[in-house]
Amino acid sequence: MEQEGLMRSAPATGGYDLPDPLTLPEEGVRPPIVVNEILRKDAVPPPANLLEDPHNTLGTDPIPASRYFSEEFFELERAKLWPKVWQFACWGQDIPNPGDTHVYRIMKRSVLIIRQRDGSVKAFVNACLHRGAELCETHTHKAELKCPYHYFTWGLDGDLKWVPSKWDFPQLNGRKFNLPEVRLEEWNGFLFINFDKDAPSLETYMGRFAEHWKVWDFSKRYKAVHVQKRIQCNWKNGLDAFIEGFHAFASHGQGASVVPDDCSQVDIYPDSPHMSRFQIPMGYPSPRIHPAPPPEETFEMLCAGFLPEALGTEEGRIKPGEDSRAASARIARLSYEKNFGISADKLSTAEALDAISYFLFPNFMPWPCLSFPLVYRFRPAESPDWCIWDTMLFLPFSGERPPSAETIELGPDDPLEDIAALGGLALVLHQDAMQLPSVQRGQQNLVDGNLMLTEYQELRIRHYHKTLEHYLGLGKD
Amino acid sequence: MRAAQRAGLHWPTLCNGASLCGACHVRVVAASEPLAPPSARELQGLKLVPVYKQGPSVRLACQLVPKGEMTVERAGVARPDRRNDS
Repeated sequence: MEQEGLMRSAPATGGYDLPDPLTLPEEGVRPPIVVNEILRKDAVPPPANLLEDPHNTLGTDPIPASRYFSEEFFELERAKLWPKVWQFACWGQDIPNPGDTHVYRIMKRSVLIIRQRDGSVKAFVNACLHRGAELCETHTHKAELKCPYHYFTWGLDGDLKWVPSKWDFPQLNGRKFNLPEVRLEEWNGFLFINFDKDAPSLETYMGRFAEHWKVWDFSKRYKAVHVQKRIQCNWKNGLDAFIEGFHAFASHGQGASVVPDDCSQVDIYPDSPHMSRFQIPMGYPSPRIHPAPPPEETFEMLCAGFLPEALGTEEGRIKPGEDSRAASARIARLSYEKNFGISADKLSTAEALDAISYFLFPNFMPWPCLSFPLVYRFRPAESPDWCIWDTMLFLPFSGERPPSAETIELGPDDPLEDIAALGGLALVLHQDAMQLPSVQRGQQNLVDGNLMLTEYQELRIRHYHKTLEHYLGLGKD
Repeated sequence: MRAAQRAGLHWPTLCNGASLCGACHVRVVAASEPLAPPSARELQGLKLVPVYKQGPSVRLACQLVPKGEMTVERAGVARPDRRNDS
């Protein structure tokens, strides 16, 4: 071999070349990269909330797999979970004008979320009080709510306006008969509903989540992409694929040169049962690649993603005093300024580059950083084996607010990798989507009926299951 | 990749030859015989190579079987005593 990098081979000898047995290094020792140390060394430091490292754990007990496929558990969730939680229903700018109406569905329930004439928003049960027909079947724009069956009519504010053959409804004399309201609160432009009239406020429910998010203002973001897909797995299996970064090296190997996946920081807080997060610093390779790729390769890959036109130019090289992370953050900031017309020079390295995922139980997963401007939502569909998965991208804008993107609806056999609007994420989401039905099937085969999770990297899964147990009134199964 | 490993070199990989990570990709600089076209398995794995690197001369070292003399280029291949050097 004359030099590294260039190899000349002799002709093959023929025959079947059975690969050597797995020779990856033993992974008995935790990788040395510590997120907190990386963030403290960044040239532009992050907000204080990202420097918290609470380091709580929840042990190593197994989780019953039946929670993901049993009809009984599904019915328990229907009865005791979804009626009692604050859940993300609608992005406020999807209904910007008075009369704009969004239909939110959760299992067998349906809620109308309506922009009022005074600019406020109200939510109502989506059922005519006569014989129960849905007042709206799809998102729409209304001046009033007129049941298509017999023309019972309510105003946008839910007040009864007209009754057909009123003489024949003596029971309505003296009664208001207004549409029942559902509790609704707005937070950072997102609209949440709760069927429980006695639930605490959304801010109380959020716990530390609200405090952490004070530094991230989505009033200057718009919904640039919305993809909704039906997928053959339980809503929790869908959620689990995105609430941990542990699977990234195996399921998304293409990112291993730029993501030290083994080094995520996973945070839960005892005083905030509905909240968790992970932080994965970008700009370094996964410790699992042996030998490690050169820093130039890590940087070039990120540069190609953020600002491909910089490759081969002065900006598209690691400069003196930079490592691959610092150089990648520089390129990311340049791309935001160029693509979004915003000033990004003061954006911290973490907020420019990193994969930071927050979760508000049970269905809201916002990622605050511009590198991954995502919101995921998972909801159960009609059975434990199906769910509805929403992927939204929220991008910054300058000048006039662009309208929210139309929702791209995909069936279970429609590949995500074909959705150009998702950019580089399309392949990543496709890889997850392809696996999930197999997870759903395989869980029903487990001999001991249990999922065996890591102590730390899958801590967020353990954490929300504890919260779920609380709502369902379960101890240990 | 197997040839390099047999020769004692460390070749970048995550999946150890299963065409699942793309990390082993090479650029074929010269070949004495025409390359066999990528198999379906290799084509799937080639999707994982960074887009800006993809091209007709880029192949997966774990799937490409040389038929004659071949010269390939891959940064990061290391001798055992310089395992983590670039």
